[in-house]
Amino acid sequence: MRQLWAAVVILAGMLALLAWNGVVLQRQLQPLAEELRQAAAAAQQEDWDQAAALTLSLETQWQGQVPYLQVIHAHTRIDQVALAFLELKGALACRAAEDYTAAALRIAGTLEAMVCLERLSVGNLL
Amino acid sequence: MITAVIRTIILYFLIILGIRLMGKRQIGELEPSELVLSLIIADLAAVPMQDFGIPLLMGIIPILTLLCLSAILSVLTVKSIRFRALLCSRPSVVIQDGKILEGEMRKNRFTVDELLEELRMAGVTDLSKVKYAVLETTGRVSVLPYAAEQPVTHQAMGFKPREAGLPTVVVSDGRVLSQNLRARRLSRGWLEGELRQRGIPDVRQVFLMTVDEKDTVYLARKERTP
Repeated sequence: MRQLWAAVVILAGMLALLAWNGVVLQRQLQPLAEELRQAAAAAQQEDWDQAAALTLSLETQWQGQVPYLQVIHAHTRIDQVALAFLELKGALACRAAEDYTAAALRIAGTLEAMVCLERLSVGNLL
Repeated sequence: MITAVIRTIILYFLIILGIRLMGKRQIGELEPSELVLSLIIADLAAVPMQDFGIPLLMGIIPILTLLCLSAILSVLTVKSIRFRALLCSRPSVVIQDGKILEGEMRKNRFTVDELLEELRMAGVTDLSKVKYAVLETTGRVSVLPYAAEQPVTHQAMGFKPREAGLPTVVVSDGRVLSQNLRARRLSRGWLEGELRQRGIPDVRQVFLMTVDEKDTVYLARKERTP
């Protein structure tokens, strides 16, 4: 019976930790996605100072998330975001609003996909 | 590439732990659920070993989940006969009183060729000598021959042979297994006395030494002395 309870506790513990992980990711990545959309909107309105400030803030926040994300997510996804940030900074330097918006929305989409992956949903199960 | 080595070591020990938790069965005698578990674990471990882009947790979490499920199922199969039958099925009698039960063979999708193969592996070539043959849940066939076909025993001949004991290893590859020595209620002094009797000055020259309940000693020296 001890073996049974140990297995049940480990399984329950893992489920609890992974559910908590989903909540943490939502709280940390969802605001980043929203900020990226704000940055894209600023670029569309040619407000490059605002876009630059947001880009710097976003990149700093993203760098802070990377070590944790590398433990729980496929590295290809993280690398995609890193590359997209380079594109973002490139578009910012050239003041290319369309390229900036595309890169920002791509990063936002990837972050939201990462959050979705950790959610318990019928789509993910199937 | 150093990542590959470390990941492989971690996953390898995790798999060994899993196999240890599965118990003392040999691979050939696994129940269906255990066989599935072994195959899936091997596959899950291989992916993060080869692909560094996949986090180690993506291999560890599924493996740990499967091990926990396996432990839960194994306890439930011990506690509940119905659950055991559901998970492992029941043994089927395919030969009864010398007659092949075709219905049971068909139900188990067990062909005559497979039956003959299993009987041959059990040392039986003449079906008329088989009283019962049982298809076990592991897929092996247990064969019970007629009494007249069974090997003669000492009891049948009216002999009373000396009971053999269960040997316990007390020295393995030059090392004394003190726990086993204590279990046999023997001392280090006794051990040294036995070695002296056999002209062995040092326990490190012993490859294997066993002693059973009747204090019968088996000793094998090492081929090369240290």
